Amino acid sequence: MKLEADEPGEIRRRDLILNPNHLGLTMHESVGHPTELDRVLGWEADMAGVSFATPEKLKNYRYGSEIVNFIGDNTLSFGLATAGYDDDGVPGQKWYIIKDGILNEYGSTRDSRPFLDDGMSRGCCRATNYFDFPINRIPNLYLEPGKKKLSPQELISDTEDGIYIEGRGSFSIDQHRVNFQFGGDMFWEIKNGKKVRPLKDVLYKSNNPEFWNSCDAICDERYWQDFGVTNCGKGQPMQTARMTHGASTARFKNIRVGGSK
Amino acid sequence: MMKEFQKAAKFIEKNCTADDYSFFIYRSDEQQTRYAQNMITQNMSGVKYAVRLSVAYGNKTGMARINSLKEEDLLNMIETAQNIAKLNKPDPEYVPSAKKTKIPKADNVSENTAKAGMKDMVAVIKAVVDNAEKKKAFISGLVTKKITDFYMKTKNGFEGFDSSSDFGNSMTMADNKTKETKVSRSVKDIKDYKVKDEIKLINSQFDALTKPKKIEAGQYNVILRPQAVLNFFSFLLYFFDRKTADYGISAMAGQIGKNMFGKKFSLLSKLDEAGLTAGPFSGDGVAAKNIDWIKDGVLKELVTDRSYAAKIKADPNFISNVIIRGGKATEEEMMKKVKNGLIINNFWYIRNVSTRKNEITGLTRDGIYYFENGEIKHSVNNLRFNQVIHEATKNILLLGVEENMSPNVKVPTMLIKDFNFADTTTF
Repeated sequence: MKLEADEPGEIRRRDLILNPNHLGLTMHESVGHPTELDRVLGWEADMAGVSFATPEKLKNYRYGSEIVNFIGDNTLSFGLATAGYDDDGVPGQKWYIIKDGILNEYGSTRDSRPFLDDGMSRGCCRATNYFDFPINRIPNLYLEPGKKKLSPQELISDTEDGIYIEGRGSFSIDQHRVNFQFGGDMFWEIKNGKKVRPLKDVLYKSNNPEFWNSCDAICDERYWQDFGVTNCGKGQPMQTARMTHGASTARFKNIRVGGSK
Repeated sequence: MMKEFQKAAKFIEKNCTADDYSFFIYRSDEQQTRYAQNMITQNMSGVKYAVRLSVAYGNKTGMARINSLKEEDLLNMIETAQNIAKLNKPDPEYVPSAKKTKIPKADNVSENTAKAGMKDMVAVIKAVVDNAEKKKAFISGLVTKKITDFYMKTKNGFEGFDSSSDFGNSMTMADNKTKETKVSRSVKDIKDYKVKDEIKLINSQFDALTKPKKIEAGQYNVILRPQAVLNFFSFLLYFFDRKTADYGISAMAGQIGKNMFGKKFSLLSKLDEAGLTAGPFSGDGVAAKNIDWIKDGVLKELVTDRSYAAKIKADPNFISNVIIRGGKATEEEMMKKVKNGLIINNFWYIRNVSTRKNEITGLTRDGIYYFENGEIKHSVNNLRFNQVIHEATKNILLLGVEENMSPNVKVPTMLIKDFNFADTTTF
């Protein structure tokens, strides 16, 4: 099938509706990596980078709107990062990384956690191969579904001027994990509550904390889906790790979106 | 080394009953020492092996790999590969394994590097940490030493062996406020790694950084320093193959022989380039040769593996080393050539925006300076670029002297006009 799609035009602010697969990559880059404690401590400063989510922000920084809750969960059934114990021998755990929109806790390891406080490692220590350094990794990470009944169709019907993005495409974020640009795989223009035409080569540009604070609606648990990241690059020399990310379709208000220029 | 490899090779040849086979044996002796925030944080060293066997029954293929040279493990690998092939569907892209081929001589290994040990790694780290402390800064990075041996053999008579060495240090110095800059280099011979020169370079980059002034997105003249050039043009090579082009997936479709790039842009692989190593053969048994991939802006050749070369009746090839030809311009001359612009130390998180358009995105990193009337004025905030790679080469105004970035890569500094920055950053 040859799909005729239009260019998205100039960058301007519109609402974005993102499906769970797409959101998996967005949360990986903009929430998963910035909340790795080793990055926060500067241990990955030469390559993967550092993090804007520094310790003084714990328990008080508004990372997202009040409906945004992120859970780290290495006990998740069939999760790609699920393990009885990590490479430090710490059991898999489940905890809030973002609670009611506030930065709540990091993903940590036995060597990184004591630099923060006397709390327990969250069991995020993993190496790719037997000959690799074990390092602080993103756990299975997911966005909790919305508490009110809401379907993706209802969300589209409630949107006047927006773009619906399915799947993953181009992705890039700075070394402090603040400013990012994402593409996708399939794009639909939304006008007055309807998907009116397919678009191509759409990119949106946003940053922390704008993006997650613009989240005003998350579909309910019936629409929650999990997807994997199987090639998360980090470390020196570079290692690749796997983890699961889940979400229900969600809406982000007033985000800069359009073509590449 | 060769005895160990040949013993394993004989065992594989004796026990493999497939119609055709190709295998490689790889050994690497590595030391890796990580440091961060002025402390050594991790250290790992040791020898590792990899053996990979590809087999075929007719055109049904199977592959297995293992990390041991023990006979029982090799036997397990052989049986696994053969069983996969027997169960597999025919592979339409199968070509018989490579025949006996004349392989160019290579001089890719240094005894000095082979002898280097923990003391040498720590000496580099101590020097850069001492310097960072004098600067009231923090330094993080990785020192590596690697000796690799690679042996390949096929049922049809190809046999090749290559050893290579690499010693390198990548380091980022930051004040953990607004200053952050990086220098990275690796060499074949540890004697060619001059830590004093690298410290001088990182200090010059660090000292030139000021509190960044706000700058908006737009088109700017840019001086891309070698690390930025390397990272930017590396992405050109990700989709630089004939098959992708012929299938209409990449921007190189139908462009061979045409002026797709700017006249000042040439990219080549050269076996006897002074100071540069070259891989003597590829992983599918193609001997290295001198190739002009892009000459004076004309796309001359694209990477073609043996399978696709057989299909289109072309000679197979591969990239044995990377040279982007430079010129003689100094950075001072570049700054005087245009009224104003940006000097960029490095790019980060480069990804494709559109493979068909050859458009990529990424961010500046490790220092970006505004210059005007021939001199650096101040630092500016980082920017995001969205840029078509070949369009950038058409805007090259001046080229600097080529600089070795690793044992098999050398690139120059470039002055490029109207580089497209699509967004600013908020830090």
